[in-house]
Amino acid sequence: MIGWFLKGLRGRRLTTRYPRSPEAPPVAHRGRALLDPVRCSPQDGAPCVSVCLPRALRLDAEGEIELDAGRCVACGLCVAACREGALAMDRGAETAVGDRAVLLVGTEAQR
Amino acid sequence: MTALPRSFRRSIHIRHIDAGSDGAIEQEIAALLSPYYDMQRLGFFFTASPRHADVLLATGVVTRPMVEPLQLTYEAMPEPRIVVAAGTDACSGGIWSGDEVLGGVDRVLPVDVYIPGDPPPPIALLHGLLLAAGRIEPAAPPRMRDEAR
Repeated sequence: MIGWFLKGLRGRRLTTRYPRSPEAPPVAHRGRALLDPVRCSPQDGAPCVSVCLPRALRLDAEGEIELDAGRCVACGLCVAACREGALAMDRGAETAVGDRAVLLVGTEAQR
Repeated sequence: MTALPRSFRRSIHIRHIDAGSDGAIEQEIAALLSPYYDMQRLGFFFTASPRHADVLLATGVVTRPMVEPLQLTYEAMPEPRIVVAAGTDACSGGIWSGDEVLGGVDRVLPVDVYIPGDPPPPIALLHGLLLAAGRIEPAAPPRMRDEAR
C-alpha cells in the first residue's frame, strides 16, 4: 500500500494538459489532405480526382480542382497520385470548424 | 456559428447519438473518458437523457431509420442547444451514398460545429467540444507550408 503511494508520488502526471498546452496527434493519425490551388494545374486528366473514393476532390465547371475536407477520409492516395506536388497531408488534430464553408478549399468562395 | 453562453463554462452535458456510424468514432469518443484525455476535467459530461443535454454529439452518416430519433432528441433538448457533427460521415456522408443514407447531420438538424476526420482523434473531438462551448477561437484553416512545395 505505502509502496503504491510512493510510486504514485514519484510518477509524473498522466493526463494530457490540452488545451492549456499543445498536444501532438496520435502516431498513426493521418489527418486530412491539403490542396494548394496555386500549384495545382489539372491539364492531364487530374489523377487525384479518379483515385478519390469519397469524391472529396472534384473538378468544378472551369476545370479547377476543389477539395472538400469535410468529405476527405485521409487515405492519402491523392498525394501519391499528384504530379505537381499540389497535395499534401496535414497531420494537425485541431480540425473542428464552426462553418462548413471553411472545409471547402479551392472553391469560388475562397478564391 | 453559435456557441453556448459563458455561464455554462464547466458544466456541459453531452448526448451522443450514433446515426449510422461505422463504430470507429465511438472508440475515439470512449477514449475521451480515459484517464489520459479525461474529458471531465474540462467540465464535459455524457448524459443519457436529451433533457439534461446541452450538446448533441451526432455521429454517422444518418441512415433513414435514424432521422426521426435524431429529430426527437433535438426537440427534447432544452435551449440553448448545440449540435456537433463528429466525423467525416456526419459532416458530409464521406464514402457513403445511396437512397438509404442522407449524407450528413446537416440534412436533418442545424449543425453548429463540424469535426472532420475519419475518425477524428480524441484531441479533435475535444477541440470541437471546446469550440461548441465557446472557450476557444476557431483555428485558422491549414495551408500548405512553403518547404512542402
